[in-house]
Amino acid sequence: MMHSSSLATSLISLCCGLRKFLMLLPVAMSISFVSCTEGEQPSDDPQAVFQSLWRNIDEHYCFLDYKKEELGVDWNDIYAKYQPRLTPTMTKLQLFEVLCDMLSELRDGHVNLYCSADVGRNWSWHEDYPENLSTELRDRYLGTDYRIAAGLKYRILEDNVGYVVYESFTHGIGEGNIADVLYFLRTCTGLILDVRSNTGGQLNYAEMLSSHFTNERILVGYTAHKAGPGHNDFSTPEPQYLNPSTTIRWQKPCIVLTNRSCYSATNEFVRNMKECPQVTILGDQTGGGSGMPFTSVLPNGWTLRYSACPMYDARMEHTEFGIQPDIPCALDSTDMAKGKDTLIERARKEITKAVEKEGNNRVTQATQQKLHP
Amino acid sequence: MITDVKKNLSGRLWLLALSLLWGTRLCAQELPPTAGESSFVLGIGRSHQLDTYLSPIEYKGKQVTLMQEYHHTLRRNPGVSFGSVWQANGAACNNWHNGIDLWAADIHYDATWQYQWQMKRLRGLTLKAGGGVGLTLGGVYSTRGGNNPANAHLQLRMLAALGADYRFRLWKRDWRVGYHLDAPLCGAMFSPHYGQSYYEMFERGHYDHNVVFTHPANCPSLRQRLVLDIPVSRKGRTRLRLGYLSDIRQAKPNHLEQHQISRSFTFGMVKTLGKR
Repeated sequence: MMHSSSLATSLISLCCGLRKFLMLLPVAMSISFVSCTEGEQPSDDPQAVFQSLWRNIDEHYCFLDYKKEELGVDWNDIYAKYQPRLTPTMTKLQLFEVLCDMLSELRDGHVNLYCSADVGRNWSWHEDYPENLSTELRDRYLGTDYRIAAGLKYRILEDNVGYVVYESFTHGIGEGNIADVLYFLRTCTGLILDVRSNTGGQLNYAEMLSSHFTNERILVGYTAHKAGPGHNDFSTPEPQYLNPSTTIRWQKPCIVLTNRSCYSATNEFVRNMKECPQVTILGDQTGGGSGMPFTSVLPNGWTLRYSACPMYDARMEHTEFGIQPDIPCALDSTDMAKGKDTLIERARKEITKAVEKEGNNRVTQATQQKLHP
Repeated sequence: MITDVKKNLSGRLWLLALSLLWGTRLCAQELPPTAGESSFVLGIGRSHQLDTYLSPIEYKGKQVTLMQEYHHTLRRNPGVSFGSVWQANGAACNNWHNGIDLWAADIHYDATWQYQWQMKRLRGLTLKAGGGVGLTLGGVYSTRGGNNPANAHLQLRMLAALGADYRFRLWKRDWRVGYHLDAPLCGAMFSPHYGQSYYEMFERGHYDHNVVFTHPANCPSLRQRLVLDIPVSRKGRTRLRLGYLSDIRQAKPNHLEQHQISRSFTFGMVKTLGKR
């Protein structure tokens, strides 16, 4: 009896105390809180997906004004053109097709839409042009006894010209690999660096490789980023300098072979090499792709990739649509029939020419020194 | 009846205001020195993650929280208590049922100094108010990202903290209900700029407003904890803690939007340290 009465007293005092205590809670745990950040919610609704994609590009894509100038693409007009194609009952693949058509207007290889069944793309940057590369011919030049240093395949051709193939900047290379390759080729009269159909990869590798072709710190370009959702909201472009490698640096003529499939990081590599002394770009215009791509996700789970950070050359010009070669050269069918790669043969001639020119200059300089000691 | 309640409430508010003005020396006379207390709880709940640097989509998933809390009354100034809270969160979010889309992990540390008042008119109730400093380290990782796969969280803050503890006896044991709230007032946080890549920052060394001054308008955040301590030992030195944790952290730096909102049920142990 005693026990139950003390329990009842305790419970009553507890209830009174708790009631008073709870009065002091500032509506506390029920506070839903003023939210200043609201994200998009997952949805399969075609309108929601379309709006999200359109807004993603509108606020984050870095070339909208440039594409308007070059291609006449107005992103507001694009909305008006493609939004009426949506229907509430359309299938996922139909929606995918509409969205891919819309993104294709940007003609950007870094703009892709990924769903489980397909990858939306516009590869006109290389599909609309001759490849200017025959891998079969290239393999003939490499032979079977070529060396491999990480991502670099290399050998010395019969006329004592070094030949290096770098197929993808996704294949890792290190300073040691490059130094070993250049040391092996040190007795060559010149170097052919073949990056045809290298569609890019890591910018670090592109920078590392090009740093072996300059003795001085040189300005190679500028980089910027979006600083807000407006089409013109960009940060102040920051200069990009190429620092010379502290290991072996190539001092002889170097020819870089390019085609339309040189894209993204390879485009940046060619941009850097173009500023290096002793380097000549030979072949076709590069494919471009100067915007560093970011990814985003749409409400239905599809992944969107788009160019986010523009990179410019040393003259603050866009390289989004490619870089012109110093010596334009195309693969000739007659040469191909003879088992010759026109670009490699032309590069060998240019190296011979450069070596002869260098030799003549040395003779002239020596003669002048003798005449005017 | 309503008038009585109003009178009681206004009386308490006056008491609180006067206590604040009087300072801690008066409180020190009223409060007996108490020993330190340490608690360790595990929380399981739901998490909402948003970071528009990665994607405009809000991700939802499960979250696990580990929280270690320690506080003691200052020996020289018994009207002030020092508290430290370590909170580690790990969240795995999945929006489309095809694997984990987003991982998030953060460690928060907060050190607070709070004045404490024992209410005379309501025995067992202690109110606390004060402030402190806090640090957050962590990040969020999207499994879909290319050049923007992750975003780091680094924040230093000054915060305001409020609390109320109510001790009561039930079944001859000391129980306690507590409510604690803290919110950052100002500070600084790291954030990439709107479309800036980590490559630009850390490979090229191009910085652009990457340290952002935070205040309640661009970083409205609030952490609330409601706990019930259930005595399990006779002496009451060890208690089982059940609780609810509402943790809302938001930020709007450089035109980007971030939030980590979680609500968890927590359980763990509380141990009284030293002599009571």
